[in-house]
Amino acid sequence: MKVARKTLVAGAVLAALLPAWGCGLAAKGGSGGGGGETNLAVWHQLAGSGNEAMQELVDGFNAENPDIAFQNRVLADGEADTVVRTGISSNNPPAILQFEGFRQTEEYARAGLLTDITPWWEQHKSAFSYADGELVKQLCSADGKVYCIPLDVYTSNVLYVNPEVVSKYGLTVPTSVEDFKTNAAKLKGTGISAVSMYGGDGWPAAQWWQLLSIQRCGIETINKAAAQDGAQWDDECFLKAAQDVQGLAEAGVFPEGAAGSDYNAMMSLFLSGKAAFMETGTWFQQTMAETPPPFDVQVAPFPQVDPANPSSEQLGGINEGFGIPAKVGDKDASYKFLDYMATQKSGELFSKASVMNMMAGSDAALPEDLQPAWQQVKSAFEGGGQGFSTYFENLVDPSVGDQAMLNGAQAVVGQTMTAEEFVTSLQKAGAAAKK
Amino acid sequence: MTTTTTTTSGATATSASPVGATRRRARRPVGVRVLRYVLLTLLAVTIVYPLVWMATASLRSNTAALADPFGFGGRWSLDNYAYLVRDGRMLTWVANSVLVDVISVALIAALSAVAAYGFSTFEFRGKQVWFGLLIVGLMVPPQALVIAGYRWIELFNIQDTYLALIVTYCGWTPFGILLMRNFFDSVPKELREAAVMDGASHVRIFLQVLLPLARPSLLTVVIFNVIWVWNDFIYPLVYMQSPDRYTVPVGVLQFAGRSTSQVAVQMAVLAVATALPLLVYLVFRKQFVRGVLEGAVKG
Amino acid sequence: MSTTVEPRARERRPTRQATRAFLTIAPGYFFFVAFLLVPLALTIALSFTDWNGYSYDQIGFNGIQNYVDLASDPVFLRALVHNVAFLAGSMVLKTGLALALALAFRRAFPGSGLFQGIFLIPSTLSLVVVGIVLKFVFDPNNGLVNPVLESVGLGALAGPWLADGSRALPLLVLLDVWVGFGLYLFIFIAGMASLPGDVFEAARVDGAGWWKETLFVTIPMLADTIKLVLLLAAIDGLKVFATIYVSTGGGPSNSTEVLSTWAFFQAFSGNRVGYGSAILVVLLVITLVLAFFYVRQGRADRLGKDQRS
Repeated sequence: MKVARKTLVAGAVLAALLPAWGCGLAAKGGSGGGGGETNLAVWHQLAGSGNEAMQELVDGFNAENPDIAFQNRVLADGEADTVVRTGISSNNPPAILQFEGFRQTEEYARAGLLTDITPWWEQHKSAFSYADGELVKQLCSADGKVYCIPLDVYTSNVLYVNPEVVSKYGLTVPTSVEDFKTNAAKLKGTGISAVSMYGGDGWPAAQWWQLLSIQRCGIETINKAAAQDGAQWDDECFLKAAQDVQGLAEAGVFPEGAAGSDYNAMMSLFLSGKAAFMETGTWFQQTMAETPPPFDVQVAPFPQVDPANPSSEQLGGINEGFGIPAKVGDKDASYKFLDYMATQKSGELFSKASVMNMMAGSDAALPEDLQPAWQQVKSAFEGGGQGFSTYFENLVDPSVGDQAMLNGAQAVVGQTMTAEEFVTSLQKAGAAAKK
Repeated sequence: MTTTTTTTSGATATSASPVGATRRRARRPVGVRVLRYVLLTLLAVTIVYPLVWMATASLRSNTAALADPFGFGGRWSLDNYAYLVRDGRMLTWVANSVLVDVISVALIAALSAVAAYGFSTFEFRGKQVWFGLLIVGLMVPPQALVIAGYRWIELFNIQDTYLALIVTYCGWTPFGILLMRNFFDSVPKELREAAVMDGASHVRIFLQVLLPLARPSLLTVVIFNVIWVWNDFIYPLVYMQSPDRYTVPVGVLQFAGRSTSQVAVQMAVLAVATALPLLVYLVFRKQFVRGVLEGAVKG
Repeated sequence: MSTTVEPRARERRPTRQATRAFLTIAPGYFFFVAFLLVPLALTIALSFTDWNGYSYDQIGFNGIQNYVDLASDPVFLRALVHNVAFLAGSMVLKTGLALALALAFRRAFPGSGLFQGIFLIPSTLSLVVVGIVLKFVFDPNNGLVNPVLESVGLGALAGPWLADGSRALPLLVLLDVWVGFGLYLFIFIAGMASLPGDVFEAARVDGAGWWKETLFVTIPMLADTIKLVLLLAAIDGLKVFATIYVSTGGGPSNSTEVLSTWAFFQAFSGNRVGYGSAILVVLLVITLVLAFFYVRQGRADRLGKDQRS
């Protein structure tokens, strides 16, 4: 057995060859600096059927523009933060990049990492629905300039229902938040949870608090609290919303171990018939389109704390924006791609894939089961005011959002933190970050 | 199924024992033996079961796997693997992983052995310092260096290339140097002196005297590094921007996307990814055991 | 063609040796320096800045402010405690388990080879695999562990594993042990295989039973190997990142946060690269302390050996 000797010889040979082969090994990957200096790729986070739609769009674009070959790259959840961060500040960023907008737009813009596309926007905004609305402004504008375009839009004010469980246990689809508790009582001892919610990733738990905060406080207050100007996170209405969540947790609405596990487990619990309801954003439609559930999933609007005075404001809206990194060499291709994206035709590609989007006129192509959600989205936008609040963590510093808000909500759901402690710590973080 | 211990515990029941010595020997009481098997089996099950689960989940449909993860319901088929083949990305990722792994580890082994020889043979000023630095390097978590590392790589404009990964992994020589130096040190001086008497140069001493003895150590270095490089995901994640340059772990993360719950397909990816190192390990293992045995007999 | 080589290292002129030493060590060392030490130095440098990680032109120095902030950062302090706990637990359990198994395998019995083979498998697994499988298996509602516990009457132990702060970290320690013990077993077996057989002969002749033999002969002779394994375990324990990152991400609510995951969050999500670097520097300092002790021990051992031989 001469493995040792062989290994060393091989190593020595390789070390000698490395300079020569270096060229080959140093060849860049497909979407890493094609022919010239530009990395002709669109990086995004649409998954499931959404990714398929994007691929179709890219193929269509390439067909129409034979001298440009765009690549499609989808970023997985676990890698997105890192990849976007290094990509946007690298010397060879992708031609089009999807990022989280809102506060991130501000930060990237001020760091000089984004291209100002205001002129293009002014020319093309008619292709978008609600282009002049507050939400789009918040998403893509910083210091009066526009840095991205919206694409996909979601609402989190929906409740997914398992009708089989509902009928089997005589439950009612909740119209009031209190109804969850009644349902939970009926399900006691059956091993089935009223609501599937796992807070391990942080945001599923936080969404509950955010949904209730919107109903109790209103979006204007929320924006003020985020800016720490005119409202605070420990104000009465936020506390009440947190107490609502605490109450739900105490009533056993959430499954055991709700503070742990992750979104995959959450979906798994619901799809395995072990929970009656699940709250998550309408991106779930894409998941269902890709992996059809074993039962007929129904969609209901998320209940209200006070059904007599329903709030039309919603959580979610546009999550991400597509922009052009500043360091892109030749922006021509990027603008052409934006042109191609900002059309009803492109919007329809996404609509067919169960992705609600902001391209004007594309909603007609949405599948039947998504129309009610679209109506909800429309009513939010058209109901006066801002309509949608994005997820609160997008509005604040990560030490406030990712840490205090998400971790805190997780703890409240897991009943290791009280509502008071939650809002107090949140406000403390918010005040500290403002300095 | 060879064992490594027959040579040292070669003394068997046939050796004579003085009168009066207790002969509690080759067989232990039944109870102890049974207990031993039970405990070992329990431990083994914790290892084997997840693998089996992974394999079976990969043969079911996504829906079934999500709905009833540990059951056996749903249709069984090779659909997920067919999907992977059609998709094609998996093959690319495996190829990338293999390429990077083989080249990196070969280099690490060569560089480590040579450097270890240097540390073991020569005296020079500040040797302890240089060696101490290696230990520092050993303890630094590689993930800590990613941001700075990326900027560094960018300066040479080799981001998104195999070269970036390979040179980075070549920086992982401290472990190999440490292990091999310890080994070289433990080789009796007489052997080296004999070679010197014969007029051997350092190169010959290294290649013909020390290396053959170093098989177990060298193999340890190779096996450890093969595993570490294969499983590393933070560097490929940050350094590689094109999907066609991903390695397997990053590819797996791809399937755990935001709105996707393609569990069964993920399992198929994992199964393929795991099968490869596993196969290599099974093949390698026999060689290694033989090497250790031979070393033991000689010693 | 070959020059006479120095019989005794010290008899040669230092410069000649230094050159040869340089030639042999430089290649391996070069990569180490360029791609490990230099980024490390950069990281240390960054720890004195307030860089938010966006544009390279915006790196501003802020002295030791980051370190001052660390002292009052509750998560950092908790992470520190977790690191120590993880380190201790993983070191003791991994080494102990590997040693115990190695001893059990010292004499062959039917199936021992098979078991050894199986035990090495977890270390070949990708941590992404392990993390995903762990989350599924320990899911309190749809997982495997709780039903199994209940079926054997240990239902009282069942609970929300990864959701419970007090359970998650021990579970992760066990996970780390599960992943790594095979390799250490491997090292112990290799170490035992190279033990001279005559000492055991003598012990047997003296009538030593299995226990005595193990305690007073085998283990002392394995002392060097044990020390090496403890060192490796310490290194792995401090280095831990992927295991925790993939399984719990530091949660729930930072209850499994360790320095490396906290630093990673700060650098990549928290927009505080400088701060994150400072955390890593603290980790490095702890590492250096351990390294210092090991080197000193190694030197003492070597001295002892030289005196004995």
